[in-house]
Amino acid sequence: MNLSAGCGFEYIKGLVETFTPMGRKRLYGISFLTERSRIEEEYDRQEDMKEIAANPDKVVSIISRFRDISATLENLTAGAVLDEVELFEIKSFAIWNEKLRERLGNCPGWMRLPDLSAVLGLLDPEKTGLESFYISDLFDESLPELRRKIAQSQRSDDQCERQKAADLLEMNAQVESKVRARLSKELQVFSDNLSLSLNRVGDIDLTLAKAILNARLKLVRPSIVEDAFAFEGLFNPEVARVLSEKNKVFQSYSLSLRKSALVIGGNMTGKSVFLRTLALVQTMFQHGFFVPAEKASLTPYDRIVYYSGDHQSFENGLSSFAGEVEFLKEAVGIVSRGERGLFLFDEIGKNTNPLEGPAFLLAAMEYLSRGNGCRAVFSSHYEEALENRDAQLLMVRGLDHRKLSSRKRREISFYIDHTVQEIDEFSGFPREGTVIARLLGMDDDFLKLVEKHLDGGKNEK
Amino acid sequence: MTGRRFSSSCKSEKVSHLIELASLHPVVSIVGMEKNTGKTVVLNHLINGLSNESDITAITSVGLEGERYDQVYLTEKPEITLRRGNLFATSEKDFRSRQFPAVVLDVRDFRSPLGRTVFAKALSDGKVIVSGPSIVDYLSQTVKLLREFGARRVFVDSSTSRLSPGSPAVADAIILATGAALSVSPVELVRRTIHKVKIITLPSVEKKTGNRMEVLGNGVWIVDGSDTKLLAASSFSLEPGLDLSGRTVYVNGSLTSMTLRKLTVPGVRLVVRDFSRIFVDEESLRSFEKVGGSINVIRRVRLLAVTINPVSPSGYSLRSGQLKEMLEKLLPVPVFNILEEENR
Repeated sequence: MNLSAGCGFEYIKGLVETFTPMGRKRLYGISFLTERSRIEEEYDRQEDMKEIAANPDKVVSIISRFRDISATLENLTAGAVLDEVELFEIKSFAIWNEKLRERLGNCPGWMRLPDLSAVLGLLDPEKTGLESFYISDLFDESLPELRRKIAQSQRSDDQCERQKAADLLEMNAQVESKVRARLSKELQVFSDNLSLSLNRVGDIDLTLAKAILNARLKLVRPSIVEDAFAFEGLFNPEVARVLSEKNKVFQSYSLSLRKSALVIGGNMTGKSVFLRTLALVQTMFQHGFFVPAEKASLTPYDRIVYYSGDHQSFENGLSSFAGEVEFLKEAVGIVSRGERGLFLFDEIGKNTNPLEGPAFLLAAMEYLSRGNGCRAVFSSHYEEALENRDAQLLMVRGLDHRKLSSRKRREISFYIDHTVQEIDEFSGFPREGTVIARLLGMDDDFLKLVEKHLDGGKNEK
Repeated sequence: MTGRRFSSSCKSEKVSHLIELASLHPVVSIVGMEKNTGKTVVLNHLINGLSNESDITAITSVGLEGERYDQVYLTEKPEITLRRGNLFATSEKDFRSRQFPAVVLDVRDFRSPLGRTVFAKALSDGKVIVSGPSIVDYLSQTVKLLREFGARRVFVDSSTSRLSPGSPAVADAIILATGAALSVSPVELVRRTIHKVKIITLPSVEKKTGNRMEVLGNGVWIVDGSDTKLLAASSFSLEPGLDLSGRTVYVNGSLTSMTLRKLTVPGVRLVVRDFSRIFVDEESLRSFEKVGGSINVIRRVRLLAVTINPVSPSGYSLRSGQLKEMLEKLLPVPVFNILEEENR
C-alpha cells in the first residue's frame, strides 16, 4: 500500500509498451511489492529478457498475435459447447503458443510455455498450419457427402431442389453442432495448460516491455541493501524529457540519505523535484521496475507517504491544511503501528500560520524518525527546522552568484544550480527571494519596498 | 448537369450493365437514401452476378450505433444472400446466427454493440446479416483486411437512412438506392433524389488547394492565393454577411443549411471534405447558387448508378417505368429498377 500519487509513476507506466491484452492487464494490475524476494524475482526476469529486448522484433512479431482468450477458456472450463469463433480463438492461440515456444527455446522456467501441439492435433486435422478454423469434412464422416449435395442443390434451377438445400443446410448445422460439442469436450483436458500459457504470455509480454523500457530510459537494477537510500546519477525521466525539449540537461543527484533528512534551498531551486524524484524511484522500485539512476541502493518499505503539497487536498475537497493533516495522520499511524514507512514531505506546515507551521514541522521530524524501520525526508523554508540537530542537512545550491555578476540578461534557470549536496554547518538560510523576483522581471520600485521591509524586519541578521 | 446519358431502350443490356459497372471498382459502397429503398436487393443482385470461385467478392457494412440498430432492424432484417466462396466481415452476434458452414479467418477487436468483427468465408450459399464496425477507421481497416484475405472486390453496405460518413473514406465508388419509401409522390421522390445526386456529384477542388486544406483543423477558413486564414472556429460562430465575394472558403466540418445561408455571398466558392458532410436543403442551395456561389469537395467519390425501388414498405407501388424515365432524363448516371433486376 502506498500514498505516492503525484510522483509521476503513471507517466512511467504510460511509457511501457505491451504487445498483448494480457500484458496490458498485468500492467494495470501490478501491485506494490514489500518483500525483497518478490522484487528480486521481478528483476531477475528483466535480466533474463535483456537479450531479447535488445533485438525484440522476432518475438514481438509472434507475441503480438496472441488474443485474450480468457472468456473462451471460462466457457471451456464450464463445459459449454464452443462455437466456431471460440474454437478459432483456441486454435489460433495454440498456433502462436507453439511458435513462441519454439522461438524461446531453452529458456528460464518462468517463460516456459506448455506444449499445446495436441490442441492443434484436434483442431487442425488437415495439418494445414493455418490460423483459420472451420468444421472441416474430416470431423464427421457424413459431412463430405452432405456438403456435396448442398452445393449441387443450391446450384440447381429446380425450385424443389432449392427447398431441399435448405433442409440439407439444417442437417449440416446439426452435424456441425455435434462436432463442436465433441471438440469442446475433448479440449477440456487442455484447459489448465491453456490458462497457464495465457498467464505466461502475459508475464513474458510485460517483462519484455519493461526490459525494452529499461534500455530506452537507461534504468538500472538497484541493489537491495537494508536501510539504504543512496544514489549516483539519480534523475527524473519526466522532468528530463521536458528539459531536453528545451535543450537543457537534468542535473542528476548523487547522495546517500540518512534516516532523517532536511532539504533546504531558495525558491525555484528544485526542492520539490528532488522529493518527487525520491518518491518516484521508491515507487518504481516497489513495483518491480528498474530505477532512473546510474547506481542505487534501496530497501523496501511497507508504505510510502509522499506529500507533494499541491492539488491533492484540493481534489479531495479539503483545505490545504486539512490535506497536510491527513498525510501526517497517515504517517503517524504507520510509526505508531510499528510498520516500516518512507515519508517524503514537501514543506509541511506551510499551510498554517508562521508560528504553528514550524512547530508542526519540528514535531513531524521528531515523531516520524522514531519508527525503527522508517525514513523521513522533509523540505522546508522554515529556519526553525535547523533546531532539529539529528537530521541530515541537504541543500540545493541555488543561485550561482558568480554567473549573476558576470553574465547578464539570461533566462532565470541559467543562474540556478539544482545540485543537492550534504552540508555540515549551516551559516544562514538562503535569502534569494528578492534576487529571483528581480530575475523574473519584478518592478524595481516594488523590490525597493521589499528591501525596506527586510531591513526593518526582526529577522534581520 | 452534364455527363453520360443512358437510353432506356434496351433493358437487358442495361440490367447487366449495373453488374458490369460495379465490377470495375475494387470497393463499392451501396448507399440507401432511406430504409427499404432496396439496397439489399441491389447488393444480393451484385453478389449473385459477380461471385465465382476464381474472383473473390467480399461484403461488409457500415455498422450502426446500438439504439439505431434496434430501430432499423425492428422493421427490416436485411439478410444478405452470400454465395459459396464469398468473404464477409460481420459482428460476432450476426456471425453466430447464420445458417451455413463458414471458415473463420480472423477475429478483430473492431467493436460494435454486437461484439467484435469476424472475418469469414462462406462454404456454401446462405443468408447472413452483415454488420460491420461503425467507426470509420475500423471500417477502412476491415476493407483492407478483406482485400488481404484475397478479395478482388469489396461491397460496403451503408445501411443507414442517412448517407453514411464512412462511404467516401473507404469506397472508390457508390451506388445510390432510392425508392418509394422516400415518398409516395413520384415528383417528390425525383426531386429529393436529384438533390442528393447533385450533392454526391459536386466537382472536386484543384488538387493543390485540396492538399492545403487537408492539413487544416476544424473551423471555417479562407484558402486562396497565398492566404490561409481562420474565419471562425466553427460554423456556429461564423458571422453572417462577411465580404467573401470571389473567395474560396473551406468549411471543415458539416455544411448545414444555416451555414450555407450565412455564406450566401456573390461568387463565393465553398469547399467541403466530401459529400457526406453536406446537409443542405434544396431551398438554401438554390439561393446560394442564384447569387453565383459554388461548392467543391476535396474527396470526390464516383457515383456509378442510381437504383429505384418502386414499392414502399406500406405496399404502395409507383409506376416504375414512368419514374425511371423521369430520373433518367435528369441524372448524369444510369438508373436501374431493382424489381426488374431481381426478376432477371
